[in-house]
Amino acid sequence: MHWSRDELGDITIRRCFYVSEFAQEREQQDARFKKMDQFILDLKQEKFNGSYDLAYKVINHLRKLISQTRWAHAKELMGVIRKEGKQLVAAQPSEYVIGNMVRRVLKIVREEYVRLLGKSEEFANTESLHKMLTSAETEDEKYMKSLKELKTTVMEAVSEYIDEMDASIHNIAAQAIEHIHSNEVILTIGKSRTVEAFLKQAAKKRKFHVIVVEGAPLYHGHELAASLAAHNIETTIITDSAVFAMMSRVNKVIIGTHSVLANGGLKAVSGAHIVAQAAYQHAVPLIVLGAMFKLCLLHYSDIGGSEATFNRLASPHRVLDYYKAGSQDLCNVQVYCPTFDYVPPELVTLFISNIGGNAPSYMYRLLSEMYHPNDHEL
Amino acid sequence: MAPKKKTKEGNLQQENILEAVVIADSFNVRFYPVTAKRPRCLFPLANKPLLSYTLEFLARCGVKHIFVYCCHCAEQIKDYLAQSKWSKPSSPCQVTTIVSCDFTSVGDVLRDIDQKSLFESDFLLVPGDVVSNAQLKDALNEHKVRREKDRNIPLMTLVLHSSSPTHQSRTVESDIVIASNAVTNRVLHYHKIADNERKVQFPLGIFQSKEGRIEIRYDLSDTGIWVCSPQVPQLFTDNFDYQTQLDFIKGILINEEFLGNQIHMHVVQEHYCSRVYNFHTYDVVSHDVIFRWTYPFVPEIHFDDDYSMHHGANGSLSTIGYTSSYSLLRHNVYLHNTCLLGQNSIVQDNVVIGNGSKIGNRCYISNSVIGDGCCIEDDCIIENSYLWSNVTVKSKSKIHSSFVCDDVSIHEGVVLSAGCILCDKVLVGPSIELESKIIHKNGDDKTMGIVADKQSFDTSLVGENGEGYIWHKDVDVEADNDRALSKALWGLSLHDHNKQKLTADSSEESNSENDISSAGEESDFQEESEEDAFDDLSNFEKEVKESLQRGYEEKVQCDNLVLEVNSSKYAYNMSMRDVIQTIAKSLLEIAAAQSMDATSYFATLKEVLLHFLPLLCNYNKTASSQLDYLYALEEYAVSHVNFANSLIKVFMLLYEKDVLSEEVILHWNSKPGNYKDVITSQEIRRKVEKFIQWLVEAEEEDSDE
Repeated sequence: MHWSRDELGDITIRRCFYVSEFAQEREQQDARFKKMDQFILDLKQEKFNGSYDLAYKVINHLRKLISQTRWAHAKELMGVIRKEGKQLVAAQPSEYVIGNMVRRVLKIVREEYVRLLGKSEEFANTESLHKMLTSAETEDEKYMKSLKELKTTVMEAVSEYIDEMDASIHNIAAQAIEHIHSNEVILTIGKSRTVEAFLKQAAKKRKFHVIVVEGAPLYHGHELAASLAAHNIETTIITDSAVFAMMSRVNKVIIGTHSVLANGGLKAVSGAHIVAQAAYQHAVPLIVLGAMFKLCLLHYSDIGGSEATFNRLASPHRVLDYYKAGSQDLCNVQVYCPTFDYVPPELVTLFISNIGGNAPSYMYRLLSEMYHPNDHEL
Repeated sequence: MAPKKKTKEGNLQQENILEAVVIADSFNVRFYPVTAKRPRCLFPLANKPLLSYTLEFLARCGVKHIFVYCCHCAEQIKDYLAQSKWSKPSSPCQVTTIVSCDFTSVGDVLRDIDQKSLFESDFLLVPGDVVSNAQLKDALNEHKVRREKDRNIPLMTLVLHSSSPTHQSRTVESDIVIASNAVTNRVLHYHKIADNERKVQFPLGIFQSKEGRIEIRYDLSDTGIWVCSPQVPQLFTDNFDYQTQLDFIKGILINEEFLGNQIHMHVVQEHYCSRVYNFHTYDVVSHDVIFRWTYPFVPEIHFDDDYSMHHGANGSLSTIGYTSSYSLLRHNVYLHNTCLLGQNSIVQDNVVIGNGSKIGNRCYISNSVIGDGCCIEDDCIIENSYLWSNVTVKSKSKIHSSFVCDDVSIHEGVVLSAGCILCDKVLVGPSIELESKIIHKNGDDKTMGIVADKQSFDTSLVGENGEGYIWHKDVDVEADNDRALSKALWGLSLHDHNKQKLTADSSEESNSENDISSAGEESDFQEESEEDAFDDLSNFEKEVKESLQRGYEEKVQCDNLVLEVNSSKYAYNMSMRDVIQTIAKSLLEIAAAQSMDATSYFATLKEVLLHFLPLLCNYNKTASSQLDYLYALEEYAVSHVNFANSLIKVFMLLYEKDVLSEEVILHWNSKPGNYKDVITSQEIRRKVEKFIQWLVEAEEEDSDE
């Protein structure tokens, strides 16, 4: 065969182009994975500031994953999200918000898929015996159709959800007026951004007194008290041990939470259980503030067996200085610094989220709306 | 290179990459013979290699490129790094290994860095055995700020950790005193306290500077972490005699005046930071990990490779290993999800049990770390011990305060206690007791070139089925400083050591150097036992005798001798009775040594006794002590006929000089002791009969009047 010079050149150039394109793609992919792993590393190193920040970071990460990875259909996408989700959860097993975000995104993918197929949303949600028997598609075929618009609609829905999260603190704070009345005495523990916003919102219209429990050994209560006092709210700081003594004059206890378990129990800052018990003893209502993304599928019994996943035992240096702790007379003393408390649902009066107030016994219902049952196990 | 003004972002990123050098070799033999075939930095600490803690700590500090210098067992370190997450594309930082067997010290490593000119900007120098959760951000920033002010003078920043002087983590090896400027944190004097040193001297010049306050601190321990300017390797090249970090620091501080280099320090207070540099610190740091001081580097949080982020070639994520993870139970018990615990086995406090280990029935485990794949049979007791991987312990064995390396088999009914160290692949038992023994099985080519068959093992020492040799400390250790330090083997903190030092010090005045070190070495290892008490008595006797001997020869005032004897008494915790008997014996022995023959014996003895009269009076104030003294004399007399013959004269002398009262002598006479040697107590009494009669008569005369 005879190739003209031009043609030969053309082929070489094209090949070069392919090669370079391939290399570029690989490089991009490598860079991308590096970035993603950087995120996992950040998670491990606790480079996040509170659970809201964490949720925001996780969902943004997942959004990038959806847009940057190649997938043919919803099932593959869900596989990708699941795999990444597993790693994220393993990086910080005690932060349930990560799992929540992953499940939430999976649910969004399912919803969008069903919507694009033109079926009602309810169809996707409810699992009934009748449907299981009559359903034409098997589990394998489900979500296998490739839909062009899926990527854009999923991205849109995720962005929408992010907006919803953005507004959650504001939505919760907006309900403050309904719960805090004039001249009431409110007790809170530690520092929660939601509680802070809630109290400040109420202070715009009402005058009330806040008692802040300091929350040793982290003493985040001090920060909250300073912030409230700067906002002209009458504030008192008490030690953790004084909770019971002070409870008799308190009208309401308002606390934030790290996450809400499926039974309506709380995983909250250590010391919250004492506060809840004291409130229960004095028949003071206990109001818990938390956005919907803090709601998780776990039951206390699922995790109670292992303190590693439920509680986080931090380094004891806040309780006892290592400077002293290693000396001869103290070397056999065990020092613990648990970060969380479990508050059983019986002690919680009301749970206020961005969609309104609910009793803890209603949590299971909200959960079934938020997450798809097939995603319970990642 | 000092960072320029932050103008361009791209430029800035290029320059701000933080790099670190990990020296994965200790250049000493503290852990020998365990380190014979294994580098120290791959020791499992709570079942994860020590090096992974160091690298993880650096990654956490934001280090992007780590150079690992290895020397001893370099292949193992390379292999480990090659299969670990650090060499995967997902690794948070780039890890480069540099291998050379020519390095013999830290100085060599730094000279090599200079030769390769690896660094143009500040870097971290870290030993491969650091365990820390500190953020060095502050130290780095401080260093940077200082360097911005003046580019050449601030040379490096030492990272130190504060801990109280009685802290467990402090050992003889890290006993330092630092004088620094409290305002600028500049190190003015750095002194490592030697073993028997009691005084520390500071150059006067440091107190005469006009700027700021001077702090002298004894609550710091060196973490071995340096924030170095790029000039540091150059200085090592210029001064080719620098071997260790200490040489360098001293050199810089001494030459500070005319070279203008300065060393600063940064004290880590909030966070944990320790090194593993001998058996004792291995013990302490392991405990700290279990007690969660190193959080988040604790057993149940995966930071090691168990949980690896693996990417396939096509970019899809491959499966993740969830198989290995620990769960934390109460009282700091970390159980691996795959380990098996038998019925009625008790796992008390502070225990880590590794992957796939099996514990039999009715075992008791506390304060211990059990590695991966261990098999422990029924009715075993394991306390304060470290078992590495694949250790087999047969039933009814007891392991206390011991250190058991990989693939060791312990047969039925073996009792290990008080700092036993069993090296790789050793077999011991059955039914044998080992205390403070180091057993190894290195087919050491020089000493035993032949293939070791079963016959060549000393079965009386390691048991019938045992395989291994007892390792004696002095055989392999080079004759330098290491020798003195190698005795600090197992379970000896600075605090303990100081207690011992006190004892040794008081003996220093009268004892020769040799004796101190031998006594110290012996008492280092053993728990308090009867043997020890016996040793104490003989040591005490020796000391007192030497004090008195010197006192006699140099005609020292008796008051001073009393003080000396008393200090020895407290040092060895002796009773008054022991003291009196010792003195009595010593004086007689001195006299015996002085006198040439039997005839002049009493003359010398009299001289000696008269010289020590104030001392004798001092100790023989009460009747009971006089009685003790008499019995001591009697004890000596039964074995020395010479003395027995002159005993009557001695009694007379002491009676006249009011050392002994007549009641006591009479009392002594009425109750003869049970001594029997050359002559009996009865014979002694017969020899002094005349004196007694005289006494009785004198008394009667007294009463008659």
